[in-house]
Amino acid sequence: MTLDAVLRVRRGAFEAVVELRVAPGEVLAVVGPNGAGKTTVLRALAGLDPLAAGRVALGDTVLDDRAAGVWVPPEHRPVGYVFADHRLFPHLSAADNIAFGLRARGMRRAAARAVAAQWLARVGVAELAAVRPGRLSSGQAQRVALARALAPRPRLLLLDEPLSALDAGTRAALRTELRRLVGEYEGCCLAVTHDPLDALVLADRIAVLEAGRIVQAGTPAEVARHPRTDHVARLVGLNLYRGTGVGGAVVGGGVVGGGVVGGGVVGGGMVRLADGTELVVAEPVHGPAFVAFPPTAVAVHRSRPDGSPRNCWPATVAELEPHGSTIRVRLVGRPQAYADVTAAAVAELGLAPGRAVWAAVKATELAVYPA
Amino acid sequence: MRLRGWVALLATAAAAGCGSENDRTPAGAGQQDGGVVTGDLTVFAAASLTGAFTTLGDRFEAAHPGTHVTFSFGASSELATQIAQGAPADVFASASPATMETVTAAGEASGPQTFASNVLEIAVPAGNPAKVVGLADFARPGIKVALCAEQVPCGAAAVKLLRAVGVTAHPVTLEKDVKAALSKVQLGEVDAALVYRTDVQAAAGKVTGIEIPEAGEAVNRYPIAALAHARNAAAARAFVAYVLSADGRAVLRDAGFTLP
Amino acid sequence: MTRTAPTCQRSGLPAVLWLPAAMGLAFLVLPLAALLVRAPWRTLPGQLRSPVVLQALRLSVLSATLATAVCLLAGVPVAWVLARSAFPGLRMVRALVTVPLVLPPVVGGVALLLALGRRGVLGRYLDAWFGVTLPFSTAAVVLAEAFVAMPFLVIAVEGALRGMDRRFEEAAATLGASRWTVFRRVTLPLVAPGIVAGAVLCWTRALGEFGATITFAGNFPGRTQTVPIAVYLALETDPAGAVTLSLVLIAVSVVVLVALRGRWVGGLAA
Repeated sequence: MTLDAVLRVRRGAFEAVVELRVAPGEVLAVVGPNGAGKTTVLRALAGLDPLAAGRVALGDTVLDDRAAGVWVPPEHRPVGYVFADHRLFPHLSAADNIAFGLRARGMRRAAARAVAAQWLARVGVAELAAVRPGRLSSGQAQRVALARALAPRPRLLLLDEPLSALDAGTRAALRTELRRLVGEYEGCCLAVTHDPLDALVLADRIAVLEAGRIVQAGTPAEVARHPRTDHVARLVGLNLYRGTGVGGAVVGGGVVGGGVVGGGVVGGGMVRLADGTELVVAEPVHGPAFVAFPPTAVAVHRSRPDGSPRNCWPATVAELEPHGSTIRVRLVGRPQAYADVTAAAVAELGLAPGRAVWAAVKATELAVYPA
Repeated sequence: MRLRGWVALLATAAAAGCGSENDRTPAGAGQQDGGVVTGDLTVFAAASLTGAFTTLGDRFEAAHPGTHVTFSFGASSELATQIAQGAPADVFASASPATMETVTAAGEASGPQTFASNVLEIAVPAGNPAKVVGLADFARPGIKVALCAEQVPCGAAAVKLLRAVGVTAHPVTLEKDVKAALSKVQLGEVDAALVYRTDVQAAAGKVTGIEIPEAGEAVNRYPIAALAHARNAAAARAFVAYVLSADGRAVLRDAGFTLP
Repeated sequence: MTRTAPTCQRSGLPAVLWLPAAMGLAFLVLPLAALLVRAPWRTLPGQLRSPVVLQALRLSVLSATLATAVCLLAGVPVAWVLARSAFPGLRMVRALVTVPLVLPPVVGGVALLLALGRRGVLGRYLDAWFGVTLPFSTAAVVLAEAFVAMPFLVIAVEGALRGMDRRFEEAAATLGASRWTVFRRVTLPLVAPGIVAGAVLCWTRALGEFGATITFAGNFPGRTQTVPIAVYLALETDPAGAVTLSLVLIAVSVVVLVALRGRWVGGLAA
C-alpha cells in the first residue's frame, strides 16, 4: 500500500518534478514557500489535475501512468482530500457532509449516518451533527472536513494546508488533534504546509519543495539541524550560508569580513563564502559546505569586541521585529545575519535601523556540514 | 330607400358620363361638395375586405391625385373599439352591422350604408383529401373542421347556417378570425372550414371552394360610414361614395361579394 | 437642503434616482390600475362562476405548469451544456436557444405547425406511424407554451451554473461521487435558487402566452382555450367579461409570485 509517485506536473509556465514515497501509516510533510508547487503536487496525486509525465501507484494499484495511458479519475481513487478552506457542502449538515463520501460509494443512508455519527464523536463535535457549515467556526469546520475525508477509509490521505485558515489559538488545539487522528490513520498521509511547526509536529518525514523541486528530505530533526536552503533555514530559524571549506586551521586567524584578521582556532577550519567572507569554524572541513548558526548565537556590540577568537564583523541594523520574548534584528553586513537580542539590550545599545554595530559569533556555535 | 337613391343617382351619372372606364371619377360626390379631394385618408376596414379595398384604394388615388389612402385592416370589433377610443380614422367599413352599431352609438359615425354582403363557403385543402362535398360532411365522425369563433361575425354566421341546415358539427378549433381559419385549411391541418366566399377567392388555388346552396340563410352585411371626427371629411365622403359607385361595386363583385 | 439630506442619507439612494424610479413604477402600475378601476365589480362574482371562465382558468394553470415541467426537463440539461462545455459552435447553439425570444409568438406557432402539424416535417410521421396528431390538442397548448418560455429558463439556469463555485464539485469528486452524483447532490442543490427563479419566469410567461398557442393549438373551450385566448375573444362581444378574465389571470400570477417571493425569487438577484 505504499505510495510511489514520480510526477511531472505543469501549471501554466510552472513545472514541478517530484519523486515521493510514503509508506502506510507514515506521514510525509511537504513544506515550502508559496508558489513552490505543493498544492500542484497534491492535486495531481488526487487526480484533479493531469500529469504531464510520470506514474502514481498505491501499492499494486496504478492510479496514473502517462506512458501506459492509464488514468484513474478522482472519484475512483481511494484518496481522501482535506482542503485548506474545508469546502464543506453548504447545503448539507455536518453529519450529511461526513456521510457524503459513504453514500456516494453506495452505502445506505441509515448506515452512513451511523458511521458519520461515530466520526463526529471522534473529532469531538458530536453535538454539531445537524448544524450547517455556515454556522460552524473554522476549527469545527476543519474537524468535520477531516472526518469527511477519513470516513470512506481512503488508502491515501492528502492534507492541503489543513491549519492555515485557522487563527493561532485554534491552530494549536487542532494541530494536536490532527496529530492524534493522523497517528491512528493506517494509510499513507501526505500533508502540505508552509508552517514549520505543523510539519514538525505531524510528520514522520519532511520533504522540502522549492520552485517545483525537492531540495531536501529527511526526518524533521535532520532537516532542522542541517538545513540546505535559505527557506528551510528560515523555517527552522537558523542563519545559513553556503561556501567552500578550506581545510585546517590557519594560525593567525581567518580573514573575516571587512578584511580584519582575527585569530584562528587551533584544530579548527575555515569556510569561505561566495562573497569572499571567511568564517572560522570549530572543525576542519573540505569542499562545498553549509554553515549554520542560530540567531541566539549572535552577539551584538557597540564597538569591535576584543577577546577570544571568534567571528566578528561590522554590520548595520536593517530592521527590528518582535520574536517571542526577544527582538530579532536583521543585520546587513558581510555576512548578513539575524540576531536575537533582549529588549533590554536593544535599549542599552540604542539599536535602531541604520545604527552601526559589530556582530560576533563563536566558532563553536557554528554548525558545519557538507553540502 | 336612401341607398337605392344613391345607386340610382350614380348609375345615372355614370351612364350620362362619357365612356365607362373604370378609373373615371364618380362625377357626383366630389364635385357636389365643392371641395378638392386631396390629402391623406385613413380607412379602417374589416380583414375580409383586404383584397377588394386595396384595389379600390389604388384606383381612388389614381382618380384623385394628391390623395394618399392608408388602410388598417383587422377584426371589425377591434377597429370599432379603437375608433370609439379616438383612433384617427376617416372611414370605417365593418363586417357586421353590430360592430358598426357600437361606433354609431359612440357618436363617431352616422348614416352607415350597406355596400356589400358576404356569404359562407366551404374551403377545403387543394385536392380535397377528405372528399368533402357539402355541409353534411361537417358532422362526419373523424373529420377535422375549423369554424370561426362565435364572437366574430364569420363564426356567428356559421352557427346560424349550421343550425338552419340542421347539421351538428364538432370543430377541432374555433379560430379568432377568418384568415386564421383559412390558413389552417391551407396548411392541411383541417379537412374543411367555413369561411367567406371572398376568402376562398382571394386564396385562389391554394384552397378549393365548395358552394353552399343554403348560404343565403346566413348573410353578413357590410356597412360603411364616413366618421364624424374624420380629419379629411371631404376625402372620406368621396371614398364612401366611390365604394358605393358602379366602379366600386364591380371591384367588390370581382372579389366575390354579393351586392345589394 | 437640511431637510432633504437626512432622508437621502438614511436610504442611501441618490436623490436624483427617485424621480425616474417613481416614473418607472407609475408606467408599470398605471395600466393595472386602469383595469382595476374599470372592472365590473358588481357583476364580477357572477362572471367568475361561469363555466367558461373556470374552464379556461383550469386549462391555463394546468398547461402552464406542464409546460414548465417540460422546460425544466429539457432546459436544465441544455443550460448545463451551455455553461460547462466548450466546443466550436457553442455560441451558435446559445443564439439558437434564444430564438424563441425574438420570434413573434405567432411566427413561433406557425413554425410549430410546419414542424409538427399533420403535414409537418416531423408531424407527418407522427400521424402516419402512431396516429398522433398534435395540433388542436391540449398537448399542443403545452408544447406551444414550452416553446416560447424555454429560453427564460435556460438563460436563468445557465447564469446560475456559471456563477456557481465549482470547487465543491471537486471536493465531491475526491469523495468518490460519480459525475451524475455530483450533478444530482451538489450542483443542482447549489443552483436550485436560480432554477426556481427561471421556472417562475417560465411559468408566468407560459400563462400569458397567446399567439403561439392559438396558432398551433387553435381555440376550443375546455380543450385549448386558455385565459388569454378567452380574453381576446371576449373583447369582441363582451369587453366587461374580458376585463374580468384579465383580472383573474393577474390575480393568479400575483398570488403565485408572492407565495414564492423572498425565499426563492430572491435568487434572481443572487
